[in-house]
Amino acid sequence: MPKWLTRTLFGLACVLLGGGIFIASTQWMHQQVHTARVVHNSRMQPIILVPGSSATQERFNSLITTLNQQTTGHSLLKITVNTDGSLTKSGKIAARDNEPYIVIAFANNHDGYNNIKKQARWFDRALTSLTATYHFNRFRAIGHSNGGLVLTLFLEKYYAKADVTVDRLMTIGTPYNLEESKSANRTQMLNDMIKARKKLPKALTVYSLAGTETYDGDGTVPLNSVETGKYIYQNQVKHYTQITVTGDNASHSDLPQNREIINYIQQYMLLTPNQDLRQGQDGDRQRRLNPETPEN
Amino acid sequence: MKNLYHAYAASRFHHVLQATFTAMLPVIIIGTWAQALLVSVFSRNSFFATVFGLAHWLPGFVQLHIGLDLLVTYTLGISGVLAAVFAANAMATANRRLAAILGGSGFLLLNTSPLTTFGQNLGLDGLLPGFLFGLLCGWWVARSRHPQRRVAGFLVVLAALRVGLNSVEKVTGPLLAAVWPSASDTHQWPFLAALGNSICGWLGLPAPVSPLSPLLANGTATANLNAVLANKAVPYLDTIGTLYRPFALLGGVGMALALIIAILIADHRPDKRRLAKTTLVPSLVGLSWPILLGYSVILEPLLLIPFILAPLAATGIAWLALHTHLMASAVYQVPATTPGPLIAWLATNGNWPALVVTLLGLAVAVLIYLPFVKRLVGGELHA
Repeated sequence: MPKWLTRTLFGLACVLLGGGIFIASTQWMHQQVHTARVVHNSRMQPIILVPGSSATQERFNSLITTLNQQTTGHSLLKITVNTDGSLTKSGKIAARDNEPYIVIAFANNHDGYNNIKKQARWFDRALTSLTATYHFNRFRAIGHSNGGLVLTLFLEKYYAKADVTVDRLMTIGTPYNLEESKSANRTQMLNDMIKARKKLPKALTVYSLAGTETYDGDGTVPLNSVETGKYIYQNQVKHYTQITVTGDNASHSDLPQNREIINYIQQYMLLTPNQDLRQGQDGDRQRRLNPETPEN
Repeated sequence: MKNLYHAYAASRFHHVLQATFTAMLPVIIIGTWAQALLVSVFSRNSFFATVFGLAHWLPGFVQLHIGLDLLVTYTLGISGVLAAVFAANAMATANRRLAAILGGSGFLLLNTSPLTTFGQNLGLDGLLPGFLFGLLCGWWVARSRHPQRRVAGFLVVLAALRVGLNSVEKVTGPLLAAVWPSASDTHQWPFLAALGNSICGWLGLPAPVSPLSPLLANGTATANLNAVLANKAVPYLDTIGTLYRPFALLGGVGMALALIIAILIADHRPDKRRLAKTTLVPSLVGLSWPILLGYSVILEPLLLIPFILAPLAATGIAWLALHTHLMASAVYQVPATTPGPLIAWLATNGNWPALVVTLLGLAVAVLIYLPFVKRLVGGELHA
């Protein structure tokens, strides 16, 4: 091959390669910026609910039905994280619903510190996938029982790296010291959580709700164990409020159905309890009012 | 001035420097190519892997990543040690082998702490320290009648020194990290960063603003990005991320890409041209060690001037274009290994003036380098 031909071919190859890289990277960048804009301008702020041990994604059905009866209602998405990190979804976030409920449950919902640590990791992975799918960058969280522990571990361990902000957390009957009734006997888990408390977001407002059937607990979780949450959150987050509820439905597993607690959720956790229905379409409205109806 | 320069060029120091870098060159070339492939193609956060999603469909992606990582570790990753070995060898007038052994072993000894057995200092960060240490070893061994005894004694002293340093570092933390200027302190002074970066690069020291470090790493960059996403005015116009990094770090510290182009234009020595061509591709992703060592840019007084001026000029042109509202500011995050000429274009999300300003800055930098390269060629011919 003559020298000029080799050179021309080489030059042509360079131009083609360079042009290809130029066009591909420009398109990729446009896509990136578009996604960044959508996420940044997203007004969606879901309420994420995490059930306790042995509970499934259906745990909050009655709570959310009640909430939606009291208000004009929000849509409900239920997610179960499988042990391999994949997600099984049911339900749907209605279009233009800025404050949907998302329940994140775990296929492996057993008790025990090691398991809770795993669940926190699964929660983080589910959240990453959800923020990418639904384009939100902030949420509020409610955890019942061990669900509160999962959320606390998430905030201490994964939150700093996640592209989301949380401004409110409510834990309901969360045993920060497991089944230990004396706060002087700290479990390994509580010690670890106290040690890592500096990593909690400073702007967070926390409500820790405890139920009492007897004078020292809700029948399952000792009141003292719930109260040890103060060693983690007090003077660490912006506000930490401890509330004790008594009366009907104050036993541990009934807490999510407790009237008082539902009122607290409505008062403290919902930003727009009354979703403006004129924004949505009729189909959305129907779905919002009846989150129980099967969709898809 | 001219005499001073000639005296330096004829000095033993200069001779040893040249001999050291020439000896290291083959390893540096292999290492640089391996690193360029590793950081720009075969890493998950790399430019080509993110743009083309390589990790998902390219077979053997992980294996290639591991293999290239090994290559880099044992080529560029030991370049500080090699500098010590070859400098000791070139410096010693007698007992050369002993000097080289002492240089290598001693430098390894000195840089192994309980925290790092294979630390940064053994690699390119240790280029200048390694070279100076090699000089010391070569000088020390050559002047002895009982070199073996001296070597043994010196190694024992070094080990003792290291143990002492360990106990000090336990209390104070790594000494170098404490005094080293961190890039985040200066991120609002892009011109100062350009100056400091060039001087460090010329000395063979690690650059405070590395071309391989991620772009969006500080508060001002985040504030800029958020402002643009919310359609507001950019709050911090003059930062390293908006002016220096996209426009004046092409090919690495000192606008090395401009130097390579200038060599290809003005230098007709075949070996230097070959070297420049070899470095051209890796320099597109910010790696130009072969030219810095093989063209002896490091510690070469004549090239210090354009090495400082070229990035300053490119930063200045970008500053001017930005403040006259000719181009958008570079705020979006791009992978660290984005090819130099594309950084501004992509970081502005496809702003044509930004691309023009990049190329203009590059052209001016080439013009700044040209007379110095010609001078260097002329000097070589006369000598």
